[in-house]
Formats: sequence, structure tokens, C-alpha cells
Amino acid sequence: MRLVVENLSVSYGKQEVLRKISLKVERLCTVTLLGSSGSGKSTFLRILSGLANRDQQQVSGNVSIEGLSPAEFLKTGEIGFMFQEPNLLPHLTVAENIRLPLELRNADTSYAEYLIDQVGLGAFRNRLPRDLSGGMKTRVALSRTLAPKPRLLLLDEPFSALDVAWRFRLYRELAALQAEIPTVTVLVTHDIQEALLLSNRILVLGTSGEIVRDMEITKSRPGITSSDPLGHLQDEFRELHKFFIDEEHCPVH
Amino acid sequence: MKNTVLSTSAGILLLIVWECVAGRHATTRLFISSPTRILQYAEGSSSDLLQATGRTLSEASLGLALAATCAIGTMILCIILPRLLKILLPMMVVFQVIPLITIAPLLIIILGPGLAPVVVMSALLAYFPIFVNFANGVRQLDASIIDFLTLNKATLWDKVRLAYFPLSLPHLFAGLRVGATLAVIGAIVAEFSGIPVGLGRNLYISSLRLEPELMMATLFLSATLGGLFYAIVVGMERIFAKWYTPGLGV
Repeated sequence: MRLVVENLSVSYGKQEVLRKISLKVERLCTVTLLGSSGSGKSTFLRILSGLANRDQQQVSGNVSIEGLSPAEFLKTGEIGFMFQEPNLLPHLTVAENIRLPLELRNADTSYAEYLIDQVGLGAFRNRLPRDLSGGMKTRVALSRTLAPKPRLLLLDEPFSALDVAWRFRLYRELAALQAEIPTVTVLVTHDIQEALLLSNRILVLGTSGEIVRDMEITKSRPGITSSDPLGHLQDEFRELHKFFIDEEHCPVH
Repeated sequence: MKNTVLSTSAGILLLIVWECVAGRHATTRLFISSPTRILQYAEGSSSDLLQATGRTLSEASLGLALAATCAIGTMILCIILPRLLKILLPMMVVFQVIPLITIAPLLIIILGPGLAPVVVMSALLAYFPIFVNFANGVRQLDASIIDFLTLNKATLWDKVRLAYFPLSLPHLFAGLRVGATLAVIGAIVAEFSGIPVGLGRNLYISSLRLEPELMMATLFLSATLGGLFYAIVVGMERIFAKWYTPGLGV
């Protein structure tokens, strides 16, 4: 799975959101975007997804996914995108929401049934979204995104509404999926620990939309279920933490 | 319970006052008959009144069905061709401003006497609120839901059946509630123009002949018919839109 971004710049009128972003991914991995609010992380995911430009952005640069433009790769149905809001279909039950991506592809829905139990929603499969808590809706949305086993997985703060217990359970589920299918994951998060636990590479976006730090994670990690999941990554944690505490990179208005 | 008792008591008091005022003078009786006289008249003319009600009911039902079908069909076309909505909406607004009662004789000339002109008139009145509300529902749809369907290889028909139509149901039913009562009004107004049977014909005749009992009985039946249509739409909403109607009131 080859993902190439060359000098990508995005602006809304005079306001530049992303500036000369370049990224090359040639192996299966998880790339995490860290940055303060408004640094262009969600915009970057949307550009990769190939979805229509609704907000009159001016886009320059080049993005290529397996040799195709994002709009062309979108047609393959190999992109899974979890938005910041769950946006479940309110008239469909939990099970129907999770099965839907597979039904639209005329595919076998057994993996969706597996996911419903894995995310602890077996007892709620026939409930409507209005009966669910925010965390439950997030679990449904994540399951729905993972169900078709996409080759390019775009996750926009997928775990932010979850409690710690469910976060770690879903980290495991995500890792299991990545072990099973050839997936490149681009994750957006505010959580430094999450970024270090899940990523092979961390890109930090500055307030002016450029990459200010590109950190490759090569050290091994004890594993998500370990009592010390970060293991030898404490230095990296402290470095990133200090980076965001510094007001230049995280201005307080 | 307390509110029901108060409302009922107010209604009974109103009837008593009406009975006393209407029965007092011969001149008053020419214009507003008393409740007991109206009841006596209705009892004596029940078959004619029921026939007229049945006729208006069938016209309004067909008119509402025609309006709803055309409104939903037009909106689906506008989803397929988004620019069509921008062309159609201003035209519809202009058309709605025209007093539709002036069109009724024209419809009879074009379509001939009978059911057709009344059904069309009824549909014309009901069409605009149904369409505009449905259009508002579609325009307010969260775009990220459509994005989700696009990502999952949904066809345009998938998007209509999974998102555009079901998620616009609250707005569509709001339009249907208004359209239902307008369909009844449209049928009654069209019947003014020489239709042989119907509640509108009764109102026209009663105003020419100064027959207050016929007028009041017909007005009561018209209001009941309008209320019935409204209640049917609310009932349908409770059946077809359970996902957003827990505890929906009438």
C-alpha cells in the first residue's frame, strides 16, 4: 500500500490551513497526526479520502494512493473513514448500522456480527442510536468503519469519547485488524500516549499547518495489555509533552 | 385531567351561550342558528350531508395522494439534478401567490365537470407545503452521512433510500400535516364552481339561500374532515417514523 503526499498546501481564502505537507508511506503502518485544534489535521484526512471539496478550499500539491488520485481511490471502496462525530443512521439499529458497509458491497456480513460482540454491544444490537450513550455510538461508528476491512483507514479522534477501559480494548481490536489485513492507518488524535501506543510514525502539525516534527517509532513496545504499555518510550512521551506545553506550538488565546 | 375538565366546561358554557343568543331573535336566527336547530336539521338531512361529506372526502383524499406523490417525485428529481431545485422553488413561490380560487373555473373548462378538477385543485393547494418542507429536510441533511455512504460505494438510489428520504421524514410529515388540511380546503373551494355534490356546494347554496342550519352543519363536517385528515397523517407518522417519534403528540 503506497501513499505519497507531495507539497500539499490547503487554504480557505487567505487563511492557510496546511502548508507544504510531504509524506511517503510505502509499507503497512500507522501514521498519527498530532497537533493543536485548527492545525489542519481533519482537513488532511478529508483530502486523503477524496471526498468532495465542500468548503471551497484551494488545494495545491500532489496526493497519490496506490498510484491513483484520492478521488479515483475513493471509487474502489477501500477507504474507511471515521469522522469526529459518529453520524450513525438514526433509523437503523446498531446491527444494521454496522452491517451496512458490507451490505452496500454485497459482501458477507459475518465480520460485522463478530465486531458487534467484540465492542460489547451484543445486547444492544436491535436498539436505535437514540438509545445509546456517546461512548456506545463511538463504538458502533468504529465497528462500522472497520467492518469492510479497508486498506486505507482514516480515523479522526476515534477514541476521544471512550473511557479508558474501552479505549484499550479497541486499541487491541484495531491492532488485531491491522495484523489481519494490509492496512495503512492515518490517525488523528490529541492524546500523546495513544499516538505512541498505536503509531509507527508521528507527525506533529504546527499552528501554521506545516509538519514541525516527524518522529519514527522504532523501539518495540511491550504491548497494549502490558502494565507499562509505553515501555521504553517515556523519553518520546516527555519530548512530545514538552513540545505541546511550549506556548509557541500550543498558543493560549 | 384538570385541563380536560376545564376545556369541556368551557365548551359546554359556549354552547349554552350560543343556544341562548341564537334562539332569542328572529333576525339573529337568519344568520346563526342555534345548536339544537342545527342538530335537528342534521338529523333530518343526514343522508344528504353524509353523501356530500363522502364526496369531499374522496376528492380530498385523491388530491392529497396526488400532491404527495408529485412532491416526493419532484424532490427525488431535484436530488438527481440539484440545479433543478433552484429553478423550481422561485416558480412555486410565485404560483402560490396566485389566488387559486380563480383557477377553479379554468380547471373545470380544461378538465370538464366531475371529480378531476376538484382533485387537481385540492392537490395544487396541498403540493407546495409538502414539497417545501421535504426540500428543507433534504437540504438540512448532515453532509457527513452522505460522505459515509459515498465512501461505502452507495449508489444514488442507496443514498435516497438510506438517507435523503428517511432522514427527511420529520420535515415531510410536517408538510403533510399542513397539506392534509389544505387538501380538504382545496376540495371545498373547487366545489364552489358548480360541482353538483359536496361540502363546498352546500356552503355555496346555504349562503345564497340564507340557510344557516345547512351552513353550520356543513362547517362542522368540514372541520371534522380536516381534523380527521390531520389525525390520519399523525397516525401514519407514528407507524412509519418510529425512530424519531417517541411520545409524539397530535
